[in-house]
Amino acid sequence: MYDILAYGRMISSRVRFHAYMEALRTSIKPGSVALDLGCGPGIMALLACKFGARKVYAIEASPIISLAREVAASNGLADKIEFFEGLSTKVTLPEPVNVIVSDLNGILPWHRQHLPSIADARRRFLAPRGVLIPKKEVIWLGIADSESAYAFHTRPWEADHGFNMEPARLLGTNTPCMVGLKPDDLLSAPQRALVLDFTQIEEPNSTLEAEFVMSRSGTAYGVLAWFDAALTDEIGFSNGPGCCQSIYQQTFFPWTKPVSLAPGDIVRVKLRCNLVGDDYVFRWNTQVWAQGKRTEVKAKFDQTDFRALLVSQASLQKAEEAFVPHCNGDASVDTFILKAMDGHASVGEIAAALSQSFPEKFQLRSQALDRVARLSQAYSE
Amino acid sequence: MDKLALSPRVKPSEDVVWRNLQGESVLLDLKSGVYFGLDSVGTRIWTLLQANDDLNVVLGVLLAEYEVTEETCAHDLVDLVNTLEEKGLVHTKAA
Repeated sequence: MYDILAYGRMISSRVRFHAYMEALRTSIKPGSVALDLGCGPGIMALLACKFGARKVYAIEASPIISLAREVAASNGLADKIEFFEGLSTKVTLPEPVNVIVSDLNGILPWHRQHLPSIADARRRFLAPRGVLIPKKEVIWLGIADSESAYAFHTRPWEADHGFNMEPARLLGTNTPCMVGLKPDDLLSAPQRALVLDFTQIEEPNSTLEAEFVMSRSGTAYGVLAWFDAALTDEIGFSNGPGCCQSIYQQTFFPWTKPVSLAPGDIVRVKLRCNLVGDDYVFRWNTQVWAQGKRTEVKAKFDQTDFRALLVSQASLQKAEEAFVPHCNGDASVDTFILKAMDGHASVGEIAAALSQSFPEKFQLRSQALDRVARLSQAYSE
Repeated sequence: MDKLALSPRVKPSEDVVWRNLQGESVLLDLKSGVYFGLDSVGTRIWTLLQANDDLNVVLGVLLAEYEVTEETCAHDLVDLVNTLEEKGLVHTKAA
Protein backbone atom coordinates (compact mmCIF):
# COMPACT_ATOMS: atom_id res chain seq x y z
CA MET A 1 0.00 0.00 0.00
CA TYR A 2 1.32 3.42 -0.95
CA ASP A 3 1.60 6.36 1.45
CA ILE A 4 0.85 9.97 0.55
CA LEU A 5 4.51 10.63 -0.29
CA ALA A 6 4.48 7.83 -2.88
CA TYR A 7 1.31 9.23 -4.45
CA GLY A 8 3.02 12.61 -4.45
CA ARG A 9 5.99 11.17 -6.33
CA MET A 10 3.66 9.70 -8.94
CA ILE A 11 1.97 13.05 -9.55
CA SER A 12 5.34 14.80 -9.57
CA SER A 13 6.66 12.50 -12.29
CA ARG A 14 6.23 15.05 -15.06
CA VAL A 15 6.68 12.73 -18.03
CA ARG A 16 4.14 10.27 -16.72
CA PHE A 17 1.67 12.90 -15.58
CA HIS A 18 1.74 14.90 -18.81
CA ALA A 19 1.38 11.76 -20.89
CA TYR A 20 -1.70 10.73 -18.93
CA MET A 21 -3.10 14.26 -19.10
CA GLU A 22 -2.71 14.41 -22.88
CA ALA A 23 -4.14 10.93 -23.30
CA LEU A 24 -7.21 11.96 -21.31
CA ARG A 25 -7.51 15.26 -23.16
CA THR A 26 -7.65 13.49 -26.52
CA SER A 27 -9.86 10.61 -25.36
CA ILE A 28 -12.56 12.36 -23.34
CA LYS A 29 -15.32 13.72 -25.56
CA PRO A 30 -18.09 16.05 -24.40
CA GLY A 31 -20.57 13.95 -22.47
CA SER A 32 -18.18 11.01 -22.03
CA VAL A 33 -18.49 8.73 -19.05
CA ALA A 34 -15.10 7.75 -17.60
CA LEU A 35 -13.75 5.31 -15.05
CA ASP A 36 -10.64 6.02 -12.98
CA LEU A 37 -9.62 2.47 -12.07
CA GLY A 38 -7.54 2.43 -8.87
CA CYS A 39 -7.96 6.18 -8.54
CA GLY A 40 -5.53 6.83 -5.66
CA PRO A 41 -5.97 10.51 -4.68
CA GLY A 42 -8.23 10.93 -7.73
CA ILE A 43 -6.17 13.12 -10.02
CA MET A 44 -7.20 11.28 -13.21
CA ALA A 45 -10.87 11.60 -12.23
CA LEU A 46 -10.38 15.35 -11.77
CA LEU A 47 -8.69 15.62 -15.16
CA ALA A 48 -11.49 13.66 -16.84
CA CYS A 49 -14.00 16.16 -15.41
CA LYS A 50 -11.85 19.07 -16.56
CA PHE A 51 -11.78 17.69 -20.11
CA GLY A 52 -15.56 17.45 -20.33
CA ALA A 53 -16.67 14.10 -18.91
CA ARG A 54 -20.36 14.07 -18.00
CA LYS A 55 -19.75 11.55 -15.23
CA VAL A 56 -16.70 9.91 -13.70
CA TYR A 57 -16.65 6.77 -11.63
CA ALA A 58 -13.61 6.22 -9.43
CA ILE A 59 -12.77 2.89 -7.83
CA GLU A 60 -10.13 2.42 -5.15
CA ALA A 61 -9.58 -0.37 -2.64
CA SER A 62 -7.18 1.45 -0.33
CA PRO A 63 -8.05 4.09 2.31
CA ILE A 64 -6.62 6.83 0.04
CA ILE A 65 -10.15 6.99 -1.39
CA SER A 66 -11.15 9.16 1.58
CA LEU A 67 -8.64 11.75 0.43
CA ALA A 68 -9.86 11.43 -3.17
CA ARG A 69 -13.41 12.18 -2.01
CA GLU A 70 -12.20 15.21 -0.07
CA VAL A 71 -10.22 16.50 -3.04
CA ALA A 72 -13.22 16.05 -5.37
CA ALA A 73 -15.41 18.00 -2.95
CA SER A 74 -12.76 20.72 -2.61
CA ASN A 75 -12.92 21.17 -6.36
CA GLY A 76 -16.71 21.28 -6.55
CA LEU A 77 -16.86 17.86 -8.24
CA ALA A 78 -18.48 15.78 -5.51
CA ASP A 79 -21.63 15.36 -7.63
CA LYS A 80 -19.78 14.54 -10.82
CA ILE A 81 -17.36 11.95 -9.45
CA GLU A 82 -18.91 8.88 -7.87
CA PHE A 83 -16.57 6.81 -5.73
CA PHE A 84 -16.63 3.09 -5.09
CA GLU A 85 -14.50 1.74 -2.26
CA GLY A 86 -13.25 -1.80 -2.76
CA LEU A 87 -11.80 -4.10 -5.37
CA SER A 88 -12.99 -3.22 -8.87
CA THR A 89 -13.77 -6.87 -9.54
CA LYS A 90 -16.44 -6.66 -6.81
CA VAL A 91 -17.94 -3.39 -8.03
CA THR A 92 -20.89 -2.96 -10.39
CA LEU A 93 -21.17 0.36 -12.21
CA PRO A 94 -24.58 1.83 -13.04
CA GLU A 95 -23.70 2.37 -16.71
CA PRO A 96 -21.02 1.51 -19.28
CA VAL A 97 -18.10 3.91 -19.61
CA ASN A 98 -16.44 5.37 -22.70
CA VAL A 99 -12.97 5.68 -21.18
CA ILE A 100 -11.13 3.60 -18.59
CA VAL A 101 -7.95 5.17 -17.27
CA SER A 102 -5.66 3.30 -14.92
CA ASP A 103 -2.12 3.14 -13.68
CA LEU A 104 -1.91 -0.01 -11.66
CA ASN A 105 1.65 -0.89 -12.63
CA GLY A 106 4.35 -1.56 -10.16
CA ILE A 107 7.79 -1.14 -11.72
CA LEU A 108 6.55 -3.81 -14.14
CA PRO A 109 2.99 -4.54 -15.26
CA TRP A 110 3.01 -7.81 -13.31
CA HIS A 111 1.97 -6.22 -10.07
CA ARG A 112 -0.65 -7.62 -7.73
CA GLN A 113 -4.12 -7.73 -9.37
CA HIS A 114 -3.24 -5.17 -12.09
CA LEU A 115 -3.80 -7.35 -15.16
CA PRO A 116 -6.90 -9.24 -13.91
CA SER A 117 -8.43 -5.91 -12.86
CA ILE A 118 -7.93 -4.35 -16.29
CA ALA A 119 -9.28 -7.43 -18.08
CA ASP A 120 -12.32 -7.51 -15.80
CA ALA A 121 -13.00 -3.77 -16.13
CA ARG A 122 -12.70 -3.93 -19.91
CA ARG A 123 -15.15 -6.84 -20.11
CA ARG A 124 -17.76 -5.50 -17.69
CA PHE A 125 -17.54 -1.70 -17.82
CA LEU A 126 -16.23 -0.55 -21.19
CA ALA A 127 -18.81 0.46 -23.79
CA PRO A 128 -18.37 -0.75 -27.39
CA ARG A 129 -15.66 1.30 -29.11
CA GLY A 130 -14.59 2.55 -25.67
CA VAL A 131 -11.01 3.60 -24.95
CA LEU A 132 -8.51 2.01 -22.58
CA ILE A 133 -5.68 4.15 -21.18
CA PRO A 134 -3.04 2.70 -21.34
CA LYS A 135 -3.72 0.74 -24.48
CA LYS A 136 -0.67 -1.48 -24.40
CA GLU A 137 2.80 -1.89 -22.93
CA VAL A 138 5.91 -3.19 -24.65
CA ILE A 139 8.31 -5.03 -22.37
CA TRP A 140 12.04 -4.87 -23.08
CA LEU A 141 14.87 -6.96 -21.72
CA GLY A 142 18.58 -6.18 -21.67
CA ILE A 143 21.80 -7.51 -20.14
CA ALA A 144 23.13 -5.16 -17.50
CA ASP A 145 26.73 -4.27 -16.83
CA SER A 146 26.34 -2.38 -13.58
CA GLU A 147 28.51 -3.33 -10.66
CA SER A 148 26.86 -0.70 -8.47
CA ALA A 149 23.38 -2.17 -9.05
CA TYR A 150 24.70 -5.65 -8.26
CA ALA A 151 26.61 -4.53 -5.18
CA PHE A 152 23.34 -3.49 -3.60
CA HIS A 153 22.31 -7.18 -3.62
CA THR A 154 25.59 -8.78 -2.62
CA ARG A 155 28.13 -6.47 -0.99
CA PRO A 156 26.60 -6.32 2.49
CA TRP A 157 26.93 -10.11 2.67
CA GLU A 158 30.43 -10.33 1.23
CA ALA A 159 32.02 -7.89 3.63
CA ASP A 160 34.57 -9.31 6.01
CA HIS A 161 32.46 -9.77 9.13
CA GLY A 162 34.26 -13.00 9.92
CA PHE A 163 31.15 -15.05 9.22
CA ASN A 164 29.79 -17.00 6.29
CA MET A 165 26.81 -14.95 5.09
CA GLU A 166 26.26 -16.96 1.91
CA PRO A 167 22.60 -17.77 2.77
CA ALA A 168 21.87 -14.04 2.97
CA ARG A 169 23.72 -13.39 -0.28
CA LEU A 170 21.58 -16.08 -1.91
CA LEU A 171 18.44 -14.21 -0.89
CA GLY A 172 19.97 -10.98 -2.15
CA THR A 173 20.68 -12.35 -5.61
CA ASN A 174 17.16 -13.74 -5.84
CA THR A 175 15.61 -10.35 -5.16
CA PRO A 176 14.73 -8.11 -8.12
CA CYS A 177 14.72 -4.39 -7.44
CA MET A 178 14.24 -1.02 -9.07
CA VAL A 179 17.29 0.69 -10.57
CA GLY A 180 17.92 3.68 -12.76
CA LEU A 181 20.52 2.63 -15.34
CA LYS A 182 21.73 4.33 -18.50
CA PRO A 183 21.90 2.97 -22.06
CA ASP A 184 25.67 2.56 -21.64
CA ASP A 185 25.00 0.05 -18.86
CA LEU A 186 23.70 -2.47 -21.41
CA LEU A 187 26.08 -5.00 -22.95
CA SER A 188 24.04 -5.50 -26.12
CA ALA A 189 21.04 -4.15 -27.96
CA PRO A 190 17.88 -4.61 -25.85
CA GLN A 191 15.25 -7.07 -27.03
CA ARG A 192 11.55 -6.36 -27.37
CA ALA A 193 10.35 -9.39 -25.42
CA LEU A 194 6.57 -9.00 -25.14
CA VAL A 195 3.62 -6.78 -25.95
CA LEU A 196 0.79 -6.63 -23.42
CA ASP A 197 -2.28 -5.50 -25.32
CA PHE A 198 -4.77 -4.38 -22.69
CA THR A 199 -7.59 -4.32 -25.24
CA GLN A 200 -7.25 -8.09 -25.53
CA ILE A 201 -5.49 -9.38 -22.44
CA GLU A 202 -7.11 -12.13 -20.38
CA GLU A 203 -4.18 -14.14 -19.01
CA PRO A 204 -2.42 -12.68 -15.95
CA ASN A 205 0.73 -14.78 -16.40
CA SER A 206 3.46 -14.15 -18.92
CA THR A 207 6.64 -15.77 -20.17
CA LEU A 208 9.26 -13.59 -21.81
CA GLU A 209 12.17 -15.02 -23.76
CA ALA A 210 15.05 -13.19 -25.36
CA GLU A 211 18.46 -14.03 -26.78
CA PHE A 212 21.32 -11.57 -26.86
CA VAL A 213 24.54 -11.65 -28.82
CA MET A 214 27.11 -9.58 -26.99
CA SER A 215 28.36 -6.63 -28.95
CA ARG A 216 31.13 -5.70 -26.53
CA SER A 217 33.08 -7.26 -23.71
CA GLY A 218 32.22 -6.55 -20.12
CA THR A 219 30.96 -8.07 -16.93
CA ALA A 220 27.27 -8.92 -16.89
CA TYR A 221 25.50 -8.76 -13.55
CA GLY A 222 21.92 -9.55 -14.46
CA VAL A 223 18.89 -8.86 -16.60
CA LEU A 224 17.23 -5.49 -16.92
CA ALA A 225 13.50 -5.19 -17.69
CA TRP A 226 11.42 -2.14 -18.46
CA PHE A 227 8.31 -1.08 -20.35
CA ASP A 228 7.16 1.45 -22.90
CA ALA A 229 3.58 2.42 -22.11
CA ALA A 230 1.39 3.36 -25.06
CA LEU A 231 -1.41 5.32 -23.41
CA THR A 232 -2.97 5.91 -26.84
CA ASP A 233 -1.67 5.25 -30.35
CA GLU A 234 0.19 8.57 -30.25
CA ILE A 235 0.96 9.23 -26.58
CA GLY A 236 3.19 7.24 -24.27
CA PHE A 237 6.23 7.16 -22.06
CA SER A 238 9.08 4.82 -21.25
CA ASN A 239 10.90 3.83 -18.09
CA GLY A 240 13.85 2.47 -20.06
CA PRO A 241 17.53 3.16 -19.33
CA GLY A 242 18.15 6.87 -19.46
CA CYS A 243 14.46 7.73 -19.04
CA CYS A 244 14.83 8.27 -15.31
CA GLN A 245 12.31 11.07 -15.17
CA SER A 246 9.60 8.42 -14.84
CA ILE A 247 8.86 7.30 -11.30
CA TYR A 248 9.14 3.65 -12.25
CA GLN A 249 12.68 3.25 -13.62
CA GLN A 250 13.76 -0.31 -14.50
CA THR A 251 13.69 -3.70 -12.78
CA PHE A 252 17.03 -5.42 -12.24
CA PHE A 253 17.05 -9.21 -11.94
CA PRO A 254 20.52 -9.99 -10.55
CA TRP A 255 22.41 -13.16 -11.43
CA THR A 256 23.81 -15.63 -8.94
CA LYS A 257 27.31 -14.61 -10.01
CA PRO A 258 28.72 -11.97 -12.37
CA VAL A 259 29.80 -13.36 -15.75
CA SER A 260 32.61 -12.00 -17.93
CA LEU A 261 31.33 -11.76 -21.47
CA ALA A 262 33.13 -11.32 -24.75
CA PRO A 263 31.77 -10.13 -28.10
CA GLY A 264 29.93 -13.02 -29.72
CA ASP A 265 28.90 -14.68 -26.48
CA ILE A 266 25.22 -15.56 -26.40
CA VAL A 267 22.93 -15.00 -23.44
CA ARG A 268 19.48 -16.55 -23.36
CA VAL A 269 16.98 -15.34 -20.79
CA LYS A 270 13.59 -16.70 -19.87
CA LEU A 271 11.54 -14.64 -17.44
CA ARG A 272 8.31 -16.05 -16.07
CA CYS A 273 5.78 -13.95 -14.20
CA ASN A 274 3.07 -15.92 -12.38
CA LEU A 275 0.30 -14.54 -10.24
CA VAL A 276 0.16 -16.68 -7.10
CA GLY A 277 -2.41 -15.57 -4.55
CA ASP A 278 -2.36 -11.81 -4.53
CA ASP A 279 1.07 -11.13 -6.01
CA TYR A 280 3.54 -12.31 -8.60
CA VAL A 281 6.35 -14.82 -8.34
CA PHE A 282 9.17 -14.18 -10.80
CA ARG A 283 11.50 -16.84 -12.13
CA TRP A 284 14.42 -15.96 -14.35
CA ASN A 285 16.52 -18.60 -16.09
CA THR A 286 19.75 -17.64 -17.75
CA GLN A 287 22.08 -19.58 -19.99
CA VAL A 288 25.32 -18.22 -21.39
CA TRP A 289 27.23 -19.80 -24.26
CA ALA A 290 30.77 -18.84 -25.18
CA GLN A 291 31.32 -17.50 -28.68
CA GLY A 292 28.00 -18.79 -29.93
CA LYS A 293 28.95 -22.44 -29.36
CA ARG A 294 25.82 -24.04 -27.91
CA THR A 295 27.88 -26.85 -26.48
CA GLU A 296 30.10 -24.53 -24.44
CA VAL A 297 27.99 -23.44 -21.47
CA LYS A 298 29.67 -20.55 -19.73
CA ALA A 299 27.04 -20.01 -17.05
CA LYS A 300 23.62 -21.26 -16.12
CA PHE A 301 21.35 -19.79 -13.44
CA ASP A 302 17.86 -20.65 -12.28
CA GLN A 303 16.54 -17.99 -9.92
CA THR A 304 13.28 -16.96 -8.35
CA ASP A 305 12.14 -14.38 -5.84
CA PHE A 306 10.28 -17.22 -4.13
CA ARG A 307 13.69 -18.03 -2.59
CA ALA A 308 13.97 -14.48 -1.31
CA LEU A 309 10.78 -14.40 0.71
CA LEU A 310 11.55 -13.72 4.33
CA VAL A 311 9.30 -16.38 5.76
CA SER A 312 9.95 -19.01 8.36
CA GLN A 313 10.12 -22.67 7.51
CA ALA A 314 7.16 -23.29 9.83
CA SER A 315 5.05 -20.67 8.11
CA LEU A 316 5.72 -22.03 4.62
CA GLN A 317 5.07 -25.58 5.76
CA LYS A 318 1.67 -24.52 7.06
CA ALA A 319 0.75 -23.58 3.50
CA GLU A 320 1.63 -27.00 2.09
CA GLU A 321 -1.17 -29.02 0.58
CA ALA A 322 -0.56 -31.96 2.88
CA PHE A 323 -0.34 -29.91 6.10
CA VAL A 324 -3.10 -30.65 8.62
CA PRO A 325 -3.84 -27.39 10.44
CA HIS A 326 -4.91 -27.24 14.05
CA CYS A 327 -6.21 -24.02 15.58
CA ASN A 328 -3.98 -22.27 18.09
CA GLY A 329 -5.09 -20.10 21.00
CA ASP A 330 -5.32 -16.97 18.86
CA ALA A 331 -7.91 -18.66 16.67
CA SER A 332 -10.26 -19.11 19.61
CA VAL A 333 -9.97 -15.39 20.37
CA ASP A 334 -10.81 -14.42 16.80
CA THR A 335 -13.63 -16.99 16.66
CA PHE A 336 -15.07 -15.47 19.82
CA ILE A 337 -14.96 -11.96 18.33
CA LEU A 338 -16.41 -12.98 14.95
CA LYS A 339 -19.29 -14.79 16.65
CA ALA A 340 -19.96 -11.69 18.76
CA MET A 341 -20.17 -9.49 15.65
CA ASP A 342 -23.87 -10.25 15.32
CA GLY A 343 -25.15 -6.84 14.30
CA HIS A 344 -26.17 -5.91 17.85
CA ALA A 345 -23.07 -5.64 20.04
CA SER A 346 -20.75 -2.62 19.70
CA VAL A 347 -16.97 -2.85 19.44
CA GLY A 348 -16.75 -1.72 23.07
CA GLU A 349 -19.23 -4.32 24.25
CA ILE A 350 -17.45 -7.10 22.36
CA ALA A 351 -14.11 -5.94 23.80
CA ALA A 352 -15.54 -6.04 27.33
CA ALA A 353 -16.84 -9.57 26.80
CA LEU A 354 -13.49 -10.56 25.29
CA SER A 355 -11.56 -9.30 28.32
CA GLN A 356 -13.89 -11.24 30.57
CA SER A 357 -13.52 -14.49 28.62
CA PHE A 358 -9.74 -14.23 28.04
CA PRO A 359 -8.44 -12.26 31.04
CA GLU A 360 -4.93 -13.71 30.70
CA LYS A 361 -4.63 -12.43 27.10
CA PHE A 362 -6.24 -9.02 27.57
CA GLN A 363 -5.17 -7.41 30.79
CA LEU A 364 -5.77 -3.93 29.41
CA ARG A 365 -9.03 -2.78 27.88
CA SER A 366 -7.08 -1.09 25.06
CA GLN A 367 -5.62 -4.48 24.02
CA ALA A 368 -9.10 -6.00 23.69
CA LEU A 369 -10.42 -2.93 21.86
CA ASP A 370 -7.53 -3.03 19.41
CA ARG A 371 -8.09 -6.70 18.63
CA VAL A 372 -11.84 -6.27 18.11
CA ALA A 373 -11.35 -3.10 16.06
CA ARG A 374 -9.00 -4.87 13.65
CA LEU A 375 -11.51 -7.63 13.00
CA SER A 376 -14.34 -5.12 12.76
CA GLN A 377 -12.40 -3.20 10.11
CA ALA A 378 -11.69 -6.37 8.16
CA TYR A 379 -15.03 -8.16 8.39
CA SER A 380 -17.89 -5.83 9.32
CA GLU A 381 -20.19 -4.04 6.89
CA MET B 1 9.16 -50.80 -9.97
CA ASP B 2 7.27 -51.12 -13.25
CA LYS B 3 6.98 -47.42 -13.77
CA LEU B 4 10.69 -46.87 -13.14
CA ALA B 5 11.46 -49.35 -15.89
CA LEU B 6 9.04 -47.68 -18.27
CA SER B 7 9.85 -44.07 -17.46
CA PRO B 8 13.39 -43.69 -16.26
CA ARG B 9 13.76 -40.09 -17.48
CA VAL B 10 12.42 -37.55 -15.06
CA LYS B 11 12.36 -33.81 -15.55
CA PRO B 12 11.19 -31.30 -12.94
CA SER B 13 8.35 -29.17 -14.27
CA GLU B 14 9.20 -25.65 -15.39
CA ASP B 15 6.13 -24.52 -13.48
CA VAL B 16 7.72 -25.37 -10.15
CA VAL B 17 9.93 -23.13 -8.04
CA TRP B 18 11.45 -24.34 -4.82
CA ARG B 19 13.56 -23.29 -1.91
CA ASN B 20 15.56 -25.11 0.68
CA LEU B 21 14.87 -24.43 4.32
CA GLN B 22 17.22 -26.05 6.81
CA GLY B 23 17.67 -29.20 4.78
CA GLU B 24 14.06 -29.56 3.71
CA SER B 25 12.27 -28.02 0.73
CA VAL B 26 9.08 -26.23 -0.08
CA LEU B 27 7.95 -26.49 -3.70
CA LEU B 28 5.48 -24.06 -5.23
CA ASP B 29 3.52 -24.97 -8.34
CA LEU B 30 3.21 -21.65 -10.13
CA LYS B 31 0.22 -22.79 -12.15
CA SER B 32 -1.94 -23.96 -9.27
CA GLY B 33 -0.42 -21.88 -6.46
CA VAL B 34 -0.19 -25.05 -4.34
CA TYR B 35 2.74 -25.61 -1.95
CA PHE B 36 4.34 -29.01 -1.40
CA GLY B 37 6.90 -30.13 1.16
CA LEU B 38 9.85 -32.49 0.82
CA ASP B 39 11.78 -33.97 3.72
CA SER B 40 15.56 -34.12 3.70
CA VAL B 41 15.77 -37.28 1.55
CA GLY B 42 13.12 -35.96 -0.83
CA THR B 43 15.07 -32.71 -1.04
CA ARG B 44 18.23 -34.62 -1.94
CA ILE B 45 16.36 -36.48 -4.70
CA TRP B 46 14.82 -33.23 -5.99
CA THR B 47 18.27 -31.64 -6.09
CA LEU B 48 19.70 -34.63 -7.98
CA LEU B 49 16.83 -34.47 -10.48
CA GLN B 50 17.73 -30.87 -11.28
CA ALA B 51 21.10 -31.99 -12.55
CA ASN B 52 20.29 -35.42 -13.95
CA ASP B 53 17.10 -36.78 -15.47
CA ASP B 54 18.26 -40.43 -15.41
CA LEU B 55 16.66 -42.21 -12.46
CA ASN B 56 19.28 -44.92 -12.55
CA VAL B 57 21.99 -42.32 -11.97
CA VAL B 58 19.97 -40.79 -9.12
CA LEU B 59 19.55 -44.27 -7.65
CA GLY B 60 23.30 -44.84 -7.82
CA VAL B 61 24.05 -41.61 -5.95
CA LEU B 62 21.48 -42.40 -3.28
CA LEU B 63 22.91 -45.90 -2.76
CA ALA B 64 26.35 -44.35 -2.26
CA GLU B 65 25.08 -41.79 0.22
CA TYR B 66 22.56 -43.73 2.29
CA GLU B 67 22.75 -47.06 4.08
CA VAL B 68 19.88 -48.75 2.31
CA THR B 69 19.34 -51.79 0.13
CA GLU B 70 18.98 -51.23 -3.59
CA GLU B 71 15.49 -52.71 -3.58
CA THR B 72 14.22 -50.41 -0.80
CA CYS B 73 15.91 -47.37 -2.28
CA ALA B 74 14.52 -48.01 -5.78
CA HIS B 75 11.06 -48.63 -4.34
CA ASP B 76 11.10 -45.38 -2.33
CA LEU B 77 12.52 -43.45 -5.28
CA VAL B 78 9.78 -44.68 -7.60
CA ASP B 79 7.16 -43.92 -4.97
CA LEU B 80 8.37 -40.35 -4.66
CA VAL B 81 8.66 -39.84 -8.41
CA ASN B 82 5.15 -41.22 -8.91
CA THR B 83 3.80 -38.85 -6.27
CA LEU B 84 5.63 -35.90 -7.82
CA GLU B 85 4.27 -36.86 -11.23
CA GLU B 86 0.71 -37.17 -9.92
CA LYS B 87 1.02 -33.64 -8.55
CA GLY B 88 2.42 -32.35 -11.85
CA LEU B 89 5.75 -31.46 -10.28
CA VAL B 90 7.82 -33.65 -12.62
CA HIS B 91 7.35 -35.09 -16.09
CA THR B 92 8.53 -38.56 -16.99
CA LYS B 93 9.33 -40.09 -20.31
CA ALA B 94 10.81 -43.29 -21.65
CA ALA B 95 14.54 -43.25 -22.27
